Amino acid sequence: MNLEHKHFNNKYSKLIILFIVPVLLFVIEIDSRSNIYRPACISTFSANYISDGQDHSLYFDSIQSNTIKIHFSNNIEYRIDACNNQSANFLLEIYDNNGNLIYSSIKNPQNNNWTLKFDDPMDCNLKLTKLSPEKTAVAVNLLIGFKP
Amino acid sequence: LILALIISISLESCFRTASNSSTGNQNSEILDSLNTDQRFHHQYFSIVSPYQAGIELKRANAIYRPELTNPADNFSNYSSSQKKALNLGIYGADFAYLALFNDQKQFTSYIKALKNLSLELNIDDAFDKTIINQIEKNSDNTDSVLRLFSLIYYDTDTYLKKNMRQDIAILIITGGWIESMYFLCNEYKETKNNLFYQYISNQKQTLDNIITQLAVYYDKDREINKLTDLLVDIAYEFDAITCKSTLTDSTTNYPQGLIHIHNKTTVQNDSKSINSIVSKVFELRKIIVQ
Repeated sequence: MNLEHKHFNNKYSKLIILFIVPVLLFVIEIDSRSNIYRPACISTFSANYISDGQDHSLYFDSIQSNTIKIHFSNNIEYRIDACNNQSANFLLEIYDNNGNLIYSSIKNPQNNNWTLKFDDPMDCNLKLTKLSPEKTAVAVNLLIGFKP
Repeated sequence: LILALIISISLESCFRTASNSSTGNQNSEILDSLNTDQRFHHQYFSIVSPYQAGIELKRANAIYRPELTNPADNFSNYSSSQKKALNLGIYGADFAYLALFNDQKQFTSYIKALKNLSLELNIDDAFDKTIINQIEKNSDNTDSVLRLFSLIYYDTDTYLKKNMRQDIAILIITGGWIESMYFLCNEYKETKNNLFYQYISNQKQTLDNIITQLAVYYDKDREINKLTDLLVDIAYEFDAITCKSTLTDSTTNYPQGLIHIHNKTTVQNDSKSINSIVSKVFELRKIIVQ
């Protein structure tokens, strides 16, 4: 009886160990990745550009435009990526602080990334307007960086 | 039974977390991180990266002054989360300064200070071991170091915003900006180089962007009140500066897709207001690092 009981206990101990160890490893693995979620486009961006280190999470729903206030230095190559997983395209418009339009990507609208360079420093408002998909809400990680 | 319960709870939480993180539902992730305070009716703000200031210093052949950085050992002096966050930003700008001037000897102590402050702020997850290892491996390649380091700050910002800790996020960014201004103001004070005069004068918009974001927490936090008041005081000095930008030529799309804005910016300022800005930046920075 004792032997049987011992055998029973051993069998279940092994089963429990076999079950718990992978589960615990899975928990640890998931936990170690769970706090920071970094879309692939951010890693790609950071391979080429120095990011401004800021998470600009924009959301385009019924309001199709978002504006971002930004200062550009001169003779630095800036990169702006409207990173999203819905292949959305945007219109980029750059305004000065008086509301004058200084650039529009209207002639080349099928885009979601732009490279910019200014001759002199300038304070700007970047206006992003979602062109497509028209009726779907889109979440965007707007990445701003520059080439060293 | 207890074991089964623990396992089932663990599994449930696992799958919940896994479905949130690894399926890559970008929409819900971003929605989680959005906060009405930050959105300002679809208006967002970008703060100039402190690395840009470092690059300006290099461009102007500025002399490396290691004594300007906040000593790495000081990290243990900061007790409030606001001071820790501001100094996390300051150490980030210091690290960029060291990297730009190839002072790799100090990397380890500054990484230690950054890790400790982030641990105390419960944001050490953003200090991805893989990235830190890559930084250490590529320590002689300034561009790689800065790219990797900016990714750490991006992850930190994402993590804080996702966890509704925007106040800490904006303090880190503010600390980085103050330190970069401190480097530029020192250089201007020492050399009177017109390039730094121009660069400092052009920080008005960035300062306004910082104040707008800090203002959300005004009256909610005594330390943020004090910081905002000091920044507003500096902003008043900027009011004496006028920057006028005009477009000198139409923009051009080169085949590579580069959009070149041909503009001309003129800065009208007087040495009195720039000297006031310099002394107020010194005063503010001293309060933060002490």
